[in-house]
Amino acid sequence: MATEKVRHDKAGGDPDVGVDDGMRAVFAARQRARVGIAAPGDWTTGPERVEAWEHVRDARSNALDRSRKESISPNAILDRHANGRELNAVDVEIVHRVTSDPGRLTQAWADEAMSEIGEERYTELVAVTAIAQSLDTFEAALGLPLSPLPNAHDGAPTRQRPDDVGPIGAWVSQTQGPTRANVSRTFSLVPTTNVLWRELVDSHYARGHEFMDMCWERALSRPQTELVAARTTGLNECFY
Amino acid sequence: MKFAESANAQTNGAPDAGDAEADRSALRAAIGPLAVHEAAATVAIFNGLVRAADGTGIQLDLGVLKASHDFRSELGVDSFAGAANSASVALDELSPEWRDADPSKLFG
Repeated sequence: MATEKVRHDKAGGDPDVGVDDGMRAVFAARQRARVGIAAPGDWTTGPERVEAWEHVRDARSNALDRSRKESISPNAILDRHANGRELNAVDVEIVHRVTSDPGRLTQAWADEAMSEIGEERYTELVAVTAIAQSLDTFEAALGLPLSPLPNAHDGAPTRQRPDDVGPIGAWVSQTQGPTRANVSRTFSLVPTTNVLWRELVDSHYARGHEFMDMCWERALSRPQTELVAARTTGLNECFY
Repeated sequence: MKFAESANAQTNGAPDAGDAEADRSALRAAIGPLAVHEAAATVAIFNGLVRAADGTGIQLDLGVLKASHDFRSELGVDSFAGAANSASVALDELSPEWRDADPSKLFG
């Protein structure tokens, strides 16, 4: 496995570590996601998306989020987040709840949020939150300072709903018809953001056809990777 | 595992995140710096994946539901709140859908 030392400060990472093609793909995907979040999506603008990322960071130490997390039920805390600069209060609630306490989200909560802002915008905010959390976690896990938030780009969302989405049993519409695992079509309702998300997943974990190979020729073996993944999902109390 | 735990605690704002630097150093010494990066990438993407899954309420695919049937309860996974999302696909174990479910077809 050929490795080389490169500088990749902008994408986050230890500049002195030798990287291989797989890790280069991780850095490239991270950079594209960072740029993509700053640009308009299908239902949110660049400034709204960057502000959502800012709320993802705030949620890690936010007093209201912490009190909800520590409560026996998140519904026991009646306070709500206020409007942001670009985002409305419902948007802000979604980002904070998905970031700080994802294991206790319910369909009733999501339905109420979607009745206010629409399922497309809801889905896109969840997608931006998932991407931002992944980008920040990589840097945090390596002990690096978080990269500054990107400058938002002007422009309007496409506001186009794909033709091939509908109810398939999730809380939001997703691609219908033959497909693989449900997780692979999670954000199919918002294709602009879904492209960024899928590239992150593929580079950080699945790597195309390698996914079906139980013996990876990587620095971290397949069983080691799965143990780290299982521990992470367990700590986040994720059933899926 | 200690690296995964401290990295998760750190990124999720847990009050006691442990000694993340010590855990990173131990992992680096054991399997090398590139492996630390790969472990960080795994923790990172699964921090996104759990939010993607739980934020959109996707159902556990029938093949995986079947394959994990024997140990989910034992591990306490069935008690996670997100289990409610998959209740509607918990088909009768004698049904053709359950019998024919194959998790390998989901990812191949």
